[in-house]
Amino acid sequence: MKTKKKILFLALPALVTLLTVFIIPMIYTFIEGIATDKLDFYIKFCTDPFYLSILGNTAILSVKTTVLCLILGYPTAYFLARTQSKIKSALLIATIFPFLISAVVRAYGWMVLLGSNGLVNHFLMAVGLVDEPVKIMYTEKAVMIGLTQLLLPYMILSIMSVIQSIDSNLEDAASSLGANPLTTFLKVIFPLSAPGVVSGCTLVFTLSMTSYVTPRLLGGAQYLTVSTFIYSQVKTAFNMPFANAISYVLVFAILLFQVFSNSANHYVSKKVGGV
Amino acid sequence: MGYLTIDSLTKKYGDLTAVKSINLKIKQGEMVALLGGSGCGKTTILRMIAGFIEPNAGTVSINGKVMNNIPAYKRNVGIFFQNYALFPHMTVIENVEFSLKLKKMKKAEIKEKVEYILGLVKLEGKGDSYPRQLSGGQQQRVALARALVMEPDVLLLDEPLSNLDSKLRQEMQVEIKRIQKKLKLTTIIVTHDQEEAVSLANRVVIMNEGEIEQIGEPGEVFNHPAHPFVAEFMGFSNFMEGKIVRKEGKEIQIEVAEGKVMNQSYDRADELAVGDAVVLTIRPEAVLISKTEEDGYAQGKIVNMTYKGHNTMVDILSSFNEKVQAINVDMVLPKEGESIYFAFPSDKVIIYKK
Repeated sequence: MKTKKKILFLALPALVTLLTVFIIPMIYTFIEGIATDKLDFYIKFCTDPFYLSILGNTAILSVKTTVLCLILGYPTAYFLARTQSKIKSALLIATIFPFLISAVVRAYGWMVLLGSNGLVNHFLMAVGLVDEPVKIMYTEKAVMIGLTQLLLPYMILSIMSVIQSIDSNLEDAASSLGANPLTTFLKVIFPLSAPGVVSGCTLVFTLSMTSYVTPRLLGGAQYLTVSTFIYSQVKTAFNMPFANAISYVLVFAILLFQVFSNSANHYVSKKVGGV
Repeated sequence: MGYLTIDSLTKKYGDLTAVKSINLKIKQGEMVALLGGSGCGKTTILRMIAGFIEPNAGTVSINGKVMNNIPAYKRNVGIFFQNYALFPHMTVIENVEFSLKLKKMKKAEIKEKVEYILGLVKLEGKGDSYPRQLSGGQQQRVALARALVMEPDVLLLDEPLSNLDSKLRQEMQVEIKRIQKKLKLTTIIVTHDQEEAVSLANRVVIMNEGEIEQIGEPGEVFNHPAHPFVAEFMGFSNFMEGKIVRKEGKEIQIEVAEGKVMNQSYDRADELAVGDAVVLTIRPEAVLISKTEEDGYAQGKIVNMTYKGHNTMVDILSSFNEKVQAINVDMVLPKEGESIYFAFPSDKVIIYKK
């Protein structure tokens, strides 16, 4: 009991900082909003199909980004976890290297590539796949591409760390028992890596739900997500109370998701014995 | 032609040759132990038989069929891993029935086989437990059951007893032997423990640095090791180098150092000649010791005694300045520093020509 208290003491500086600069102001603005406008702005948001469609689109975008990151990230994570290559550490650094470049710079990079006059369209037209430029910029596609590139390392690192902890003898054991590589993956590796998949998906989904820079630059005013819409309410509509209300809609949506992902995490961890 | 035939099998890792052109034939139902220190290539051989790694040269064939290009999952070779490698997310039953389900066996048949095998390894009633809920010994028996239930053509055991305490170890030794005999399984057991090897196997293969040093029946390798290396591995000590300076019948004289000559009788003295450089060795437990001077005994001084419970290890410095180790069971010993007399019985020493 005494040691438990002592350990809590270690968390105190961070706790105090978070409380004073983050949690207390948040509770304050939430209560202030309700006190002055009651639930008016919440009702406004929840009854208008346009506003709801922004929330829905953001959620769909985030799911798509998460799935794309999982598809691209899983094989990479498996390779990085299992490779005996001498350049393994170099590959690992390459994985987290994008973190060194700001999201703004990367978004501008994508603008160069994805614009109607960009490299991708030049290439598509040169090989004759399309006759006129495809519209990628300022659509869901552009934002999804940008977010996937931004968030892929989180997925790779989450899954990789779990796969590294799976005894490679288990794969040999499955194989000696007659399981081909696909069966070994489906029955042994994937179930055991599930905790990493859950935490990777949670991270990527949450981060893409709340991301601002990438959708702002690649989606512009034509493709709105919740966070860019909040910004437009603050900067162009000057409707602070509404922006405040939408912020809390987003916060609660994410809290709800966290509750769901926590129980998913709990379930898979229990299933694989806390590996 | 053996049932399992290993023909000039070689495995290289970069500059290092882990396994150097090994030949081995194993009969059906035979149990062979690969014995050697860490890094001697024994586990590499096992992994090549199982199909986890590809040899650089040579072949593995089972029942006349060359296995080299057949993937591990089609070989029907059961393997028991040193760390058990049980699937942590599956119950005991799920672990054991894994191979049977892949063979698309009928449910009733699977149930019958799993129950039989769990009975054989004495794990009835543990079927719904997860591996983490079992003790080390129980986990080990699950691993054994999982390898046995697939009715493998060849069973490979990688250090099966190394993680167990001595009591459980002896129990499992008996169990493995009993099951192996009952199912008439062609088995290779890899171990670094010479007692385990000689008590379990029909034949023992002693390996060193990727090569076979000696193959023989347990009694043969235990009592008549072919080289000083094998002798050391089999528990011989008291290695003394010297040169034969005189020989009369069974009596030989070995010069162990300049001007220091040791008299020794040796049953196989006719294999040796005057002038041969030799290495003499004897097990510490075979050395005779006495408090008083006796015929044929040499004099020495006790330098150290280590009490080991059921015996005492006595380190003696002989009068010709050689260290001699003896094991004493029940004699009341003189104190450290006092003199003691020792002898090497003629049938217990081995003298190797260098």
